[in-house]
Parts: sequence; structure tokens; C-alpha cells
Amino acid sequence: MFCKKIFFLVLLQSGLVFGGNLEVSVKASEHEKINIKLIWVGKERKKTKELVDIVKRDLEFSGQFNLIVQNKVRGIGKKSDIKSLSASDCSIGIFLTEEKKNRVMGWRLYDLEYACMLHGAACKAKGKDIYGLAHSISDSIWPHLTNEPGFFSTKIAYCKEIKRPGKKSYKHVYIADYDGSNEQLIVSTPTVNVAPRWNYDPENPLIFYSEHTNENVRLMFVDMKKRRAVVSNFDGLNILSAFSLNGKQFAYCASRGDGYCQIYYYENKNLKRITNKGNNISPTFANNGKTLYFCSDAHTGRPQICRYDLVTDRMERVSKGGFAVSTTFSEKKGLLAYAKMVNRVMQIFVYDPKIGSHRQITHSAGNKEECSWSPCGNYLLFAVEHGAKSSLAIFNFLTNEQRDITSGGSNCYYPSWSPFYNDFPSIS
Amino acid sequence: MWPWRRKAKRKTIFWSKIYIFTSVLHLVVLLFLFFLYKGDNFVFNVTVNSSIMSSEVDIIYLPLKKTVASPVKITKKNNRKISTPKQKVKPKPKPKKVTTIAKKKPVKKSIVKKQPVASKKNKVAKKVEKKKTKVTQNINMAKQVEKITRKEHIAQDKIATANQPIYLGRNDLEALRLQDAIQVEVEKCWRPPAGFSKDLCCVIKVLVGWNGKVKRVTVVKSSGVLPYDVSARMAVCKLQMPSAAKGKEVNITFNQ
Repeated sequence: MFCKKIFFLVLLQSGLVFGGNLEVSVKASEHEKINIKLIWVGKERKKTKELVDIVKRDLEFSGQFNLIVQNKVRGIGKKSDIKSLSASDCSIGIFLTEEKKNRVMGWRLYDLEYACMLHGAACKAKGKDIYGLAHSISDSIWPHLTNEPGFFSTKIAYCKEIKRPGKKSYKHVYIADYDGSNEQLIVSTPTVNVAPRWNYDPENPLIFYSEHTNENVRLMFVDMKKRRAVVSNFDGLNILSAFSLNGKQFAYCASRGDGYCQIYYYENKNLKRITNKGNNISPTFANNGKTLYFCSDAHTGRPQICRYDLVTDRMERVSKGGFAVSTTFSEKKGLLAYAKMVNRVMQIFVYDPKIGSHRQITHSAGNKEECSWSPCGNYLLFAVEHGAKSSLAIFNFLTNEQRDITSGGSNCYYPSWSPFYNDFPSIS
Repeated sequence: MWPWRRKAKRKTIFWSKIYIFTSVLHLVVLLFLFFLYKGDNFVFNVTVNSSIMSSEVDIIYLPLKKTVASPVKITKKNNRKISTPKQKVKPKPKPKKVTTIAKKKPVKKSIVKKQPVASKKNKVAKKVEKKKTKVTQNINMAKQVEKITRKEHIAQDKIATANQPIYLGRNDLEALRLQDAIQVEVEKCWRPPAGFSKDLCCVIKVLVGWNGKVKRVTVVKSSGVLPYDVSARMAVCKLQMPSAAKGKEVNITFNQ
């Protein structure tokens, strides 16, 4: 023992020759998904299994985490039980528990290695189905994992082509969860319905869309109870509505029967035309309603991105040359996305107004059009053409990956991502 | 009396007493060092800038010195000042044109004094005006030249500091090598999830055992994002530290 201590002392002395605390700075060269254990506490039933699957799908959507599902029949247990769940490659655990109240679930975020609870909450279901409850849990957990707000309770709206043998095809409006699951039909009138857009009233989700009639293409809206009403019924086209973040400003395109589409801006019960020349479409609000971006062919005869200052009434061109359409602005990231033709293929571009730079996002084959930002600004939803078929795809800005969210069998167009609503928008 | 003492001679007793006394003294010193003394006076924090390794600036090794103050930051807890190699500072050459202005300035005064001369008033006045304009032009030119020369000097100074060779003492070089070795080892194990902000920074304090494995891990500064901290912590646990880091505390900063 004494010899050991003397030996240690000698080593200590040698260490003191160059002793001390060393500070090292390292940078990550590669990225990898981090493992998280999702533990369901209680008896496994069909409903709970479905709920756990939805939560797993939600938390894996960003491509940052890999969830390992586990069932634990007897409660969360002692510290030693929790510690036993940790592994060398997994140190975070999420426990899901059923609360006594109906449609309320509890979750607890644990550091498994130290058996220490970091966060926890009870979640009340949004909406009426199990999707609402599962997305509500994911939304509640997400900020504690990433420091960003959860977006799982948001919805997407799009048009789907319904083919009838020997007759003209219709286009119906559908809504689905952010990842394309839980599809629900909302507008099924026997006509062509196009360009659905969500409003920005957190209490009352509405979808504005354009309906083809024998006389014109009129602007309609539909609520979650499938009640419809006419918004604009001028001659010609009444399409592509846009709302500002506060929901008080509104813009859309109308041709009023003269063959040229113009942008109309509505605020404080006043409707005014803000463009005069050429065709002007796809308005989108920026800078909290102070700026309006849209596409116009007034300057070159080919559609270009233009910016209209609603305070000074000044208009200027943003893109120069090419064929650029379908603008959409992300208030969260302060970026404008649009589709531009590159080598006869429409690709998605992103424009940063702060530095005035344009960046191509997609490079793959197939025309990409009608893009829409997620409310968190990390994803871009758009329609991709694969030959005669059209599907919906999402570009993930976190991992720079593109993935289809609708099956190749159906024809889907005009996707639009909803903002955050207080309640989970589901059809009742 | 003990039987061995009865038999022993006086001389041997004397030497054995000295032997026991010194060994007890040694034991006391050892116990003091081992249990009470923490060695604070000798421990110093070494902050190594990793960009030194990749920079193209010359590194000069000073084997006779333990540490050199710049650019490797070293802070000793015993507040002993660290000697730095003296550098010859060249005196800045004064801009020549500035001196000419100084000579010309009095001219202005003399011209002003000459104004009250009564005869040939108009001619003199014209001459004075011409001279005045010339002088003011010269002064303006000189001021501009002075500004430019000053800017050049500042730029030259900056270049000089940027191209200054880096002096390393024995400990600095050892620290730099250790930093490089740890960095290579950490990069092998650490793969954080993609998509997090590039400003994230997590500092983890690690106590390295004598077998080179990590003994104790403490998160000194959290990045605020749990998976990021956990990925860093898990990577640290997998590390096999280089031999030079054995028995030391290492602060590892994880940047995106």
C-alpha cells in the first residue's frame, strides 16, 4: 500500500512538471442521428401503440433523432431502474404516461445516465382524434429537445386530381397532417378547385381556394365544418390569396375580365389595385405586412419576382432574367422561396432580402412549383412533377434532404402549409 | 531495556535514532504532500489556440523556456510573470512631406505681416492672394499625404503583428501536441445531430485517469440544447486520451 502511494506521489510530482488544466476546442466534422428512448409506461393497447407510433414519427421527422420504442408495464420506477435503461449510445429517455383525466397524457424527459428528470408536462388533446393528442405531445416535447417551437399540429392543404373514366377530371381540396398522413377531404364539389391557402386567424382556421364555374374562376373559402362561402366573384380569374401574419391584410389576384391579372390589396375595408401593367400573380406578405412580393411579367414579358413597398407604394424588381414564379415568404427565417427555370426544369430558389442573394435549393429532375414554407421555417413544401404525375415533397433545410410525402399513385398540386392555430385543424 | 539495545553499541544506537528520525520526517512530508497539499502553486491553466497549428506563421521553439506568453495564452495561479522574448522595435520613419509643411507654415505669418506695406498696394495684394492660395493648397496636400502615410503605417503594423513568428516554450509545445492529439481523438467519436445552430457551444470538464480513460465528466457550460450536450458527453466517455493527458483535467469546448 505504502509503495503504491509513493509511486502515485512520484507520478504526481512528474505531472506537476507539466501539470494543469488544458483547454481544447473541437469542431464536429460529421453528423449523426442521436438515439432517444421512447418509453410507454402502462399496458400496451392498440390505441396507445398508435399514439406512440405517431409521436415517434413526429420526433423522427426532422432527421436529427432516432427513436427506440420500449414498453414498461410497471411505472417509471426507482433511479436504478431508470439508469438501467441507458446505454452507451442512448442517454435520453422520454416516458409517456396515461393520466387519470380523459384525453390527457403525461410525458417526462429524462437524462437516463443520471436518472434525472429534466422536464415534464401533462398534455391535453387538440382536436378530436388520436392525431391531435399525439401531435400535441410532440409539440410539447419538441422545444425541450431543440429550443424551437413544435410544428406537428400544423396542417397542409392541397388539391388532388380525381379521374373519372371517359369524363373530365375534377380537382378536390384535401387537408392532411404536416407529413402527408391523416388525409381528409374538405372540398368535393364536382369541378376544378385550385390554389388553396390558409388564413392567419389563430382561432378560426379557414382555407381560401379558387373554384372553376361556367362564368369565372371565383375565390371561395371553407371552414373546418365544410361550410363554404364566396369571397370574390369578379369576371375572369379570382385566385391566389395571401394573408399577412397579423391576419388583417389580404391580397389576391383578379383579372376582372380584361385578360390581365392584377394584384388587389385589402386593408381596413379598402380594396385597392396596386399593379397596372402585365400579369401579376402569387402575392406574399413580408416584413410583417409592410412589403408584398409577387410575380410580374410587366417588365420583360417573362415572369419576374417584384417587391412592392406598401408604405411608400414603390415597386422594384428582385430577380433579373429567367422565368421565376410562385413566391412564398417565411417570416421566421426572413427568406423568400420561388421556382425558377434552370435548363428547362423548374427548380426551387431562395432569395435573402438582407444580402440580396439568390440560392438554388433543389437540383434533381422534375419540375418543382408552388412552394410553401413551414411555420418554423425549416421545411419547404412544393409539388414535384414525375412525368404525367405530380406529388408533394418536402425539402428539409436542417439536413438538406428532399423527400416525397404523398404516394406516387395520386396527382397532388398546389400545396399550402398552415400557420400555427390554437386548435388542431381537423374536419368535424 | 530492550535486549537488542542492551547488546548494541552506542554508535549504532545513535545512527539508528537518526535513521528513525529522518524516516519519520520523510513520512510527515509525504503525508503532507499526499493529503493536505493540493499543488495549487504549480498548477497553471494553458489555453491553446488550435488555429496556430493550421496557420502558416513560423513557430520558434525555445527549449530553455517553459512557457512564452503570446500567442499561447498562459495564466499562472501564482501570479508569476512570464518572460517574453524581447523584440527589437524599429523607430517609425517620420513622413518627409510633413516636415516641409512645418517649414512652410511660418511663410503664411510673414505674408500676413507684409500686408500693411503702403506702396504698390494692388500688386502686393494680388501677390499675397496668389501666395495664400498656394500655401493653402500645399497645406491641404500635405494633410492628405500625412493621412495616407499614417494609414500605411497602421496597415504595416497590422501585417507585422500578423506575420510575427510564434514562440513556444517546452510546456507550450507539449500543450499544443496534446491539444492536437485530443482533437483528433474527439473528432473520431463526436458526431452531433445535424441542423442545430452553428453558434452552439458546450464546455465539458474531463478528469483523465491513469489508464487514459475518462474518469469524471462534468458539463461546465451547457449549449442549452439537450441532445447536443448529451452527444458531447457520450463522445467524451468513449475517448481514449493520449498519454500526456493522463491524470489531468481537460476542458473540452465543443463547437458546431
